[in-house]
Amino acid sequence: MFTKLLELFFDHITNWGLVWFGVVFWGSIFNAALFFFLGGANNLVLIVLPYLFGLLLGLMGKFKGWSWIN
Amino acid sequence: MDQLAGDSQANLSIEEERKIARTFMGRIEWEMIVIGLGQVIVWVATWALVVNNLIPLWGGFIIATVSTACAYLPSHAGQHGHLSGKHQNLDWLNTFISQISLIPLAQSHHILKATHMKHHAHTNDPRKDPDYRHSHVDNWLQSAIQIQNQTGEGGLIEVVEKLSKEDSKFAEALEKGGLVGFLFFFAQMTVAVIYPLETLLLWWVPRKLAVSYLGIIFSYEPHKDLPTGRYKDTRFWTNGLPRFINHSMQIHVMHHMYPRICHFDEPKAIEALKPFMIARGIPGAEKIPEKLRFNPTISI
Repeated sequence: MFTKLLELFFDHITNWGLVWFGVVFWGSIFNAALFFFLGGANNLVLIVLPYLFGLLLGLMGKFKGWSWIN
Repeated sequence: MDQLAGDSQANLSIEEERKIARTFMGRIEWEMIVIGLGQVIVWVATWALVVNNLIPLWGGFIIATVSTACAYLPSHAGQHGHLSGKHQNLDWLNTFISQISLIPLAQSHHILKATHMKHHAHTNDPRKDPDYRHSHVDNWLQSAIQIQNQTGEGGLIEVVEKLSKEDSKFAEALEKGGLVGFLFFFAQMTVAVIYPLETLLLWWVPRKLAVSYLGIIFSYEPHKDLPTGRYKDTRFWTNGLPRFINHSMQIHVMHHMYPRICHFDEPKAIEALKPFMIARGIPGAEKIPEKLRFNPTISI
């Protein structure tokens, strides 16, 4: 059971890893950059926007073969 | 050694060439152990200094970029067994130091070793050389870009799949290294959540710059436009800069002739083997200086 779950997890990461990398890695960086340039934001859109850009970059990475984002 | 080299003037047989080459093999390349551990210590210390606001992030970025550029060569020595030399009981040092050294590059020793051995076995073969796509391009900028995308649209996956079908040990090594790859993948994401800009400027950007730099000096310059063949696939080259700025890759041809010779012994080996290199028609061999020490081989 555990092995099967682990296998499913690694399969998922193999296929969708770049997208997760986009959301978590690039989203965090875009968020920090936004904070650095604009200061703290209470606006929900400004908090979510960097992670959406990260997701977009991750999806571009997966479907356009942009492995350089990783 | 000078005597050996002198005697070989009249005898340029392959047996004599191997006899001389063997005199440079087998020692522990302690210099690479020092560089491998040293650059990781510098990299980790840079992180600590930046995170604790003791040095600015831009200063850390410069230090991290330089130290990361020195991360591959010790791993390369480990891939070829130079870190244990002829001492089989110290073989673990090759994997251990190599993997530690590769942390700033976020790469797996097993994967790099497996693909690098295939590069040696099939240098400049478009179907089987994993480095072909960033070494056979029109200019260094293309090489720098191509190496970043090799696992995506760069076409390396097709080569790796073909090699995996042909060689089960190669496939096993990739699988083993894949776990380390996953570890680095999650480590980068985790650290980015905690220290986003630091991760970008102390890890991601330095390793991208280092990989491009390494692709140019390790692959593109020594192998561009060359055919396959033991004495034809690598050339002497120069860009006028001191050898050590280019990781001494101007003399990479020695490594392809005899990969068991330690990196730091290659200049002496070239001096001894120069007549053989010229006789075999190695590209650029006739232009190398008599003495190779700290010079940039600018006579090429």
